[in-house]
Order: sequence, then structure tokens, then C-alpha cells
Amino acid sequence: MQQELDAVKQRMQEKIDRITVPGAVVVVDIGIPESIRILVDRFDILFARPVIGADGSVSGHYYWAVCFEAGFDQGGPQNVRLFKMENVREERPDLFLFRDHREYECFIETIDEIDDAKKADIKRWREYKKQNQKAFERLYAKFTTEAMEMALNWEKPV
Amino acid sequence: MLDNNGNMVSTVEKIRIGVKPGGMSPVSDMGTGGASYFFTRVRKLPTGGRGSTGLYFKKRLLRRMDAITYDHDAFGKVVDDYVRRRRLTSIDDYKRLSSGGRSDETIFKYTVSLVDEIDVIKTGNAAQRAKVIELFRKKGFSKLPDGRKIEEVVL
Repeated sequence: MQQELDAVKQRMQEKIDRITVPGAVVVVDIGIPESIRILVDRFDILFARPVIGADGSVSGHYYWAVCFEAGFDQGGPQNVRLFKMENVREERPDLFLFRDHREYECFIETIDEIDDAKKADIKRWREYKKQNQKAFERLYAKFTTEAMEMALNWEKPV
Repeated sequence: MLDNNGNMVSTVEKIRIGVKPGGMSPVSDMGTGGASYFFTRVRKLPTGGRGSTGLYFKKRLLRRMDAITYDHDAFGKVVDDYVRRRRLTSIDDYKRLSSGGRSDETIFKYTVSLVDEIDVIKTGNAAQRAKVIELFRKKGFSKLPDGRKIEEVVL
């Protein structure tokens, strides 16, 4: 079972990577006129869990993921977001819809081909990261550990 | 940070006072009002070598009138009546959050003074600890305003 879940996680990560490689945004509808728009640095799937259908069989999967926003090293932990990904729908290969643990509707999408400003931001960000690689490795490890702990706490019954 | 009065500063405040970011400023919480706030979580103090690395502030900070605690990651949402409906304020709530950390958030408007409000700086190892202590020394701090030596604060 665990091997199967790891494979499911890996497949989702590969699909997400295809979205994020050219640069991506996560948009979250939090019920105010301006949706949250996160310019994605990294979007890592932490783990997958099965959804058990009415007949007792596995009817699908949900995921927990951690999303690093470009600039998160300046903003702090509020720019490293935990997402539960339920009801994931592959609208297009570069656009996935999902609902998160706060029941907010979200999507992750590749930056538009003609959005030169965002593409320039991503390019500048990646160059900056390359210059500070060691510091970022530490930050990724620390925040991923924290996100994993929080996701597992969400999974516990209240 | 220690060059600028030792303040932890929100994104909006950084822009207001003209602090240039090294890479880029995150902008996702500009529309929610969250970018005006400095962000923390309620967690237990590290003891006996346990606990995550990071900055642990004094509990008294929670008494600040602008401290807003949510039991979820609300993207710093402070618009409409969201604060009134969702804010947690009781000691029981704080205890619950500190023992089973989910993606809670406690936010403070504009700035928090590091040197006045820090309780513990938890480092990952002896080398990191020595570096942090040395950094404070270089900036002229051998003690904090509350009288504690830097060595007592950095674990």
C-alpha cells in the first residue's frame, strides 16, 4: 500500500513539475474580491492518501503539498503555504484545480506565455536563488519538515 | 536586521521605510491586509535540546492589542468581519495550538522588536550558535535590554 501511495505521489509531483518548470501561479479564492495569487517558487507534494469510496474500494487520492512563494526568504513562514489538495481535476496539462483544507477553491497554472513581466520575475528570482544555494537548501529542509508535521497534525482526528 | 534597530518588519513596512529586498518581495498577501503584519506561530519553547530551530518570542507579545491568532493559515486575512469571527484569544486556545501545531498563525501589525521581545534563539548546532552570538557581538550587543546575556538567549 505504502509503495503504491509513494508512486501516486511521484506521479502527481511529475505533473506538477511540468506546470512549474516554466514558472507558475497558485490562485486561491478566499472569498474576498481579490483572490490570493502566489508566484510559485516550488510546489512539493508531501504525501498522498487514498479516498475510500462507498463500496470500500479506493476511488481516488488526495494530497498534502507545500508551496514556496517566490520571495519567501524575505517574507517569512507566511509565504510557505500548506495545501491539502482534494478533488484534484486536471483541466489542462498546465492547469490543475483543487480544493484545500480550508475548503477554498484553488488552481495551479503555468504562467501565461505572453506574461513577460512574470516570466522576468521568475528569471530574476531563480538567478538570486542560484547565488544563495546553500542558504536555500537549509530553508527548504526546515520548512518542508515543518509543513510535513503540520500536515500530519491535520490528518489526526480532532 | 540588527543594523535597523533589531526590528522584525512586515512586507508593507519594509516598502514604507525603503528596505530593499535581496531577491524579491512576496506579494500574495497584499490584498488580504496580511502584508502589513509580522507573522508568527504559537509554539512551545524549546527545552532540553528539543524543539525546532528558530526565533521564539516572549509570551507577553500575545497581550498586544494588535495580536491576531487564527487556528488556520488565513493568508493574514484582516478584512471585513473576519477578525471578529475567527480570532482566538483564550489561554486554552494558545495551549491547544502550541501542543498540536497545524498551520495556525499569529500576526502583529507592522513590526516586532527582536531585541526587546526575543525569548530564545534556537540554533541547529554549536557552530551555528557561535555564529549567532558572534553576530550580536559585532553589532554591539553583549546583553539584551532585559539584562540577559546573549549566550543565555542563544541555544
